Amino acid sequence: MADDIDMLAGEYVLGTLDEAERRAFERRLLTDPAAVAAVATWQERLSPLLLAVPEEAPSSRLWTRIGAGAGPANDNGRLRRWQVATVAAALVALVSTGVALRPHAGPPAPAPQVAQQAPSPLFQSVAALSEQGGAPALLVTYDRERKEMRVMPVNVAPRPGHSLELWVIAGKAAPKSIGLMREDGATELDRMALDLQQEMTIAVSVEPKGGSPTGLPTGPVIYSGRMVSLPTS
Amino acid sequence: MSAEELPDLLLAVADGDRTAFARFYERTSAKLFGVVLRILPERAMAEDAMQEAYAKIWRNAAGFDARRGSPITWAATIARNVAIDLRRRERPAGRTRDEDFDFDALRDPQEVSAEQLAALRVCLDRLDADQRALVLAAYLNGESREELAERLGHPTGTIKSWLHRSLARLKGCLDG
Repeated sequence: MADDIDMLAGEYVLGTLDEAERRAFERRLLTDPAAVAAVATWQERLSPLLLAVPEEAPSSRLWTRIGAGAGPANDNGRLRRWQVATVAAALVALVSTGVALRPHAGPPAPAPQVAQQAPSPLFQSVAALSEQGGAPALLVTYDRERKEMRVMPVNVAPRPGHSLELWVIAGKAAPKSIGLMREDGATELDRMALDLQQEMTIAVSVEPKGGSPTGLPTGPVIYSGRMVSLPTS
Repeated sequence: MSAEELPDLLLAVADGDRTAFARFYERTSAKLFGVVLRILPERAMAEDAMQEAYAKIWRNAAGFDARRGSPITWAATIARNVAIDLRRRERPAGRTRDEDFDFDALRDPQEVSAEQLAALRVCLDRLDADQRALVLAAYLNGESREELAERLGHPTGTIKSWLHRSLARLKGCLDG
């Protein structure tokens, strides 16, 4: 399969994948570090050629357009590129012990440490979102009966002038926005119908204030993690 | 100003420094415009691509990772991707170019080591002429698999297997 990734990544960098292949591969890049690495290697192999193309000065008007288009703030802080965001599913072990199905009715979802002592856990699926396998930055819990998702920041650096947008990636589907993160405290999302039969990845990207203008992540994806369903005994 | 300053400029751009952004543009725009013009020969469209590319550079400067390449490579890759997207959007049917790519017209860039480019040249030279032309037309002109198939009169499946063969040989040559 390594060769397969390599040829796909090579064609991706060349730009010769067809539309459907390219989209599928881009979705894979959100969660597959090996594919990301293969793309980086191909870029490295071929880029000397790109830089050997003869220069050509653009018209002086162009800067006027570009300078005027630069918004008031960009992505401050030393974000890693979205390509290096990786899955940190192992971290869910943190909260995966002693968890049973919660009763149908109950108090609002508690913070994750409550789940560990957990007389009645309020979620059945969980994801720990981190940056490149680092310590978890966010903990996501999902209660499929109430269709509620709760996103708790554990260690999230503020991004002044930006919004952090949450995305769900179901199987091989395109990332779907599920909303913006609150700037303080936990974000609660209701009416979230997730099909947990599918592999589900939650990701966070840095977007302009108010969220992505395109419906797909436009800024770097800084955290991602895979949803894991907990034993229901 | 020397090329070593580009990483510092990009760091300042990441912090929202507009003056640094203007200087980064001054230093890189001719290179990026050259890259974009190969893909979008019409200047108006090429300028649209440049505007979009620099908007991305401004927004994502903090995403630049010096361990993964030089600022100019990073910026040129962004410009190339924007130009190819635009080319595919504006010309879904594809416009054929029949000009042969003049490999020798490529000048040695200051931004990459001469050895790096020389190695790539040697490895490209080892490909059959047709395969080399295919790789260069795709990478530098942004031609899609369909455009290549149409221009060369072969099924897309054939183009795909040629591309794979070329990529595998390039990889073997460069990594070996």
